[in-house]
Order: sequence, then C-alpha cells, then structure tokens
Amino acid sequence: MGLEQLVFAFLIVFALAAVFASSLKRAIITSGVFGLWAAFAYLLFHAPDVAVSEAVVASSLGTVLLILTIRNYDDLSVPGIGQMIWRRKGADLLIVGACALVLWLTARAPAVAVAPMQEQVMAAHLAGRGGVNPVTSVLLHYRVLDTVLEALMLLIAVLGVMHLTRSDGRAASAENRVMSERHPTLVTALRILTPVLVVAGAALIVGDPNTPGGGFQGAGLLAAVIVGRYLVGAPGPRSTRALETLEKVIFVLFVLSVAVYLLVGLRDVAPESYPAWTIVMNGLLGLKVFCGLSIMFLYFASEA
Amino acid sequence: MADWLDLSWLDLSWLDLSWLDGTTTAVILFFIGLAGLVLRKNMMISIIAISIMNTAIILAFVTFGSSTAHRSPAAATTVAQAADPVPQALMITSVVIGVAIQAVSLVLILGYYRQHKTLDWDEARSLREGVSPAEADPFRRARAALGALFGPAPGPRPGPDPGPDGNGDPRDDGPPTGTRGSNP
Repeated sequence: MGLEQLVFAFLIVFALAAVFASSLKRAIITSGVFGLWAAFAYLLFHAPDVAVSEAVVASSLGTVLLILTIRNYDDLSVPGIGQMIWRRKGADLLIVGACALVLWLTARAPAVAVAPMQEQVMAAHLAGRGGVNPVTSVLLHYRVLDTVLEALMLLIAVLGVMHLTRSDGRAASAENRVMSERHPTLVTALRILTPVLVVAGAALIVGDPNTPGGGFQGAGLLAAVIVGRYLVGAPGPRSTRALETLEKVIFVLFVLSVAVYLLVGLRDVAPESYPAWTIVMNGLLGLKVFCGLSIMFLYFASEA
Repeated sequence: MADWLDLSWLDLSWLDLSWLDGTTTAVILFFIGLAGLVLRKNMMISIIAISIMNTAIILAFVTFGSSTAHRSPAAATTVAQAADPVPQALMITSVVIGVAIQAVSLVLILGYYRQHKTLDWDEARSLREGVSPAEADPFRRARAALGALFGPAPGPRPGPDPGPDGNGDPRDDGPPTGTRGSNP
C-alpha cells in the first residue's frame, strides 16, 4: 500500500466527515483540511502548480470565505445524520448504486494514452524552445484563449460579488481591531512577513523553466497576504477603488498583450523575445487575478 | 526507524488498497459530494458538497495522465516520463473558478439568510410556495407522486394515526416546525 492510497483513503474520510458533519463549523474546517489533503495528492502525482493553487486558493481562501459567512451568527447546526438518512432512505441507496455502477464502468474503461498535445508540449519544452515551464506554456501559448476567458470569468464573479453586497469593501471591522490590539506580536509578525510573501508571490508569478510557477499560483499567494492581514487586523487598503481600477486596466492590458502575441505569432516569429513576453503576460495575468481575488475577499469580508 | 520502535509484528498485508487509484477515488468523492447535495437540507453544506465535487473532477484529470512514477513536467527529461502538463494547466484555472463560484454563492446565501432567517432548502421552498415545510420536502412529494401513480385508489383505510409527516412513524417527523430559528 503506497502513500497515495493512504492519501486517497484520507480524502474519502474527510469528504464524508465534511458532508455529513453535525455542525457547520465542523463541516467548514473539515472541508478545508480536505482541500489540503487534495493538494498533497496533487503533489504526489507531480502536479505542483495545481497543488499550490489548491492549497492557497481553494483550501485557504475558500475556507476563510466560508468561515466569514457564519462568523456573525450563532453556530448554525444542521440536522444530524441519523435523522437525515432515515428520511431519505431511497435516495442514498440510489446514490450508492449509481456510484457502484460508475466505478464498475471506470474499471472497465481502457487506460488513457499519451495524447498528441502532451507530446507536442513536452517535446517543445525539452528542446529548449520554451523559456518557460510547460504548464505555463500551455496556459499562455497553446490554450491562451482559455486563460483569457478564465480571467474574464473571474472579473464577472468579482463584479457579481460587488453588485450583490451592500457595502463597498471598506476597512476592517471592530472585532479585528480588538484582535490587533490584543495580539501585537501577530500583527507585527505579519507586517514583517508581508514584503517577504510579496517577493515570494512575485517570484512564483515569474517562475523559471524548471520550477513550478505561474500567474495563478503567485496571485493566490499575494491574495493570501491580503487575507492574512485582514484576519489579524493589520491596516489594509482603506477602500478598494484603486484595486478595482487596477484590475480593469490590467485585464485590458492582458487581453491586448494576448492579442499582440497571437497576431504577431511571437513564438515562431521572434523566439528569443518569447520568454520575456511570456513573463509580461504572466505578470499581467497574476496581477489581475490577485486584484480580482482581493477585491472579492474584501467585499465579502465587509459584507459578512 | 529507531531500534526501540519495532513494528515488525504489525502485519498490514491484509489491507490491500491497490484498487484505490486516482480515478476510483475521484468517482467516490464525486458521489459523496452528490450525496451531500441531495441528502442535506442546509444551503452551506450544499456549497461545500459542490466544492468537493469540483475537487473530485480536478483529481480525476490530474491523475489521468500521471502516476507517482512519473516526474513533474518542469523537471522531466523525457516525454514519457513527464506527467501530462495539459490537464494540470486547465485544472489550475478550474480551481480558481471554483473559488469564484463559491464566493458568489456565499454572497447569495448571506443575502438570503438576512432576509428570510433560514438556511434550510425545505423551509425556503415552503416560504416561496406558501405550504408547510413538511409538505415542501421534495422526497415526500416524489413519494406521494409515485404512490399516486402506482398505488391503489385513495379511500378510507384503517391504520396507525399518521404524525405530522404522514408516515405514521414518529422517528420520521424531524424537529417540530416551530423551531425555525434554531434549525436553519
């Protein structure tokens, strides 16, 4: 039994614990830990970029969002598992049957072969044609339009959160000020760590051909800095106007850079400038995603 | 391992989990999320279940083209040795989109809770349709519909006195509807 089987077993256990928890607090924390186990599983399968994104964005930011939703209300308990299963006896047996059927079909399915695109991407990377990580080359060359649309989707989600909240992302609440008065060590530590984490996030955005990195991962780390500062009550941005304007401007610049890249066919026409242009595109993408995630979090935090 | 910690007596050979590979785990996790979505009445648990389903799909894609014997695409020296970078790149975007969806859903839920003071799907439906929460339960409605389709013609029949849920089993009744505030 290898390590990955152990991780998968824990994943299943934590998923069951999160979904069938008896209180919301327990469900939220368990789902956060589930996300961390998933990040570990991705790491075991040699997907470090996905692992970083999962750990920083989904597990940390997602869990904080869930916690912020219920922080102002008493622990909202949910009906317990015994009562629930008794009431819906037909449905859970149906789901178990469907799961067994899909597992059986999956076991009979043939193994996935190496796809032509994987060969092309890896061959280009190994020939030294990229100057970038193969994952970044997929995101910013082979599937660059998917990345643009993803950035657009994030922008729309941010606009949705802004539209649906009453406030406008103002300063930290009274509870956080109390925390910063009572725990000055924590606030000072985070103040000292902030430039370190910003540099680490920027390094992760830029990356180099032989290490994991990219716009999303670095942006997630930078957004985590904003989240951490908010949670300990360190002084943050007074309002999100600057971030909002920056996000829109950066998005337009990013789309323009992608358009220039595609129209000129930069990788084939001027291969020596391809790594530098990719760094520019990665930086714009990372900055845009950072602004989006931060705005979404700050609006949510002032609303919740 | 240290000499004093001798675990040779621990025989775990019976525990053969080799069938538990990435795709199998992804299917099981997906159905766990689906069970949470179908069986639980709380809106926030639905959000958590959806994020578990998202993670299951991402796990499936990441493990399709890879294994523990491969190497990371940035560090590989041959094509066959490398884990597939294409699904990894696409799954990064999927993770971020999942969180964005979660944030928007949570804002909607927050607004709904502030307005109606409940996080219960059945109570939400009962508020919307003006029926009692017990009647708003979709499983009860499905059972009633199936019973009407396949059951005998309705008529007076002797039986135990049905409780509020109509099944005659007091365990099936759930909390009394008067406790909306404590059971959102």
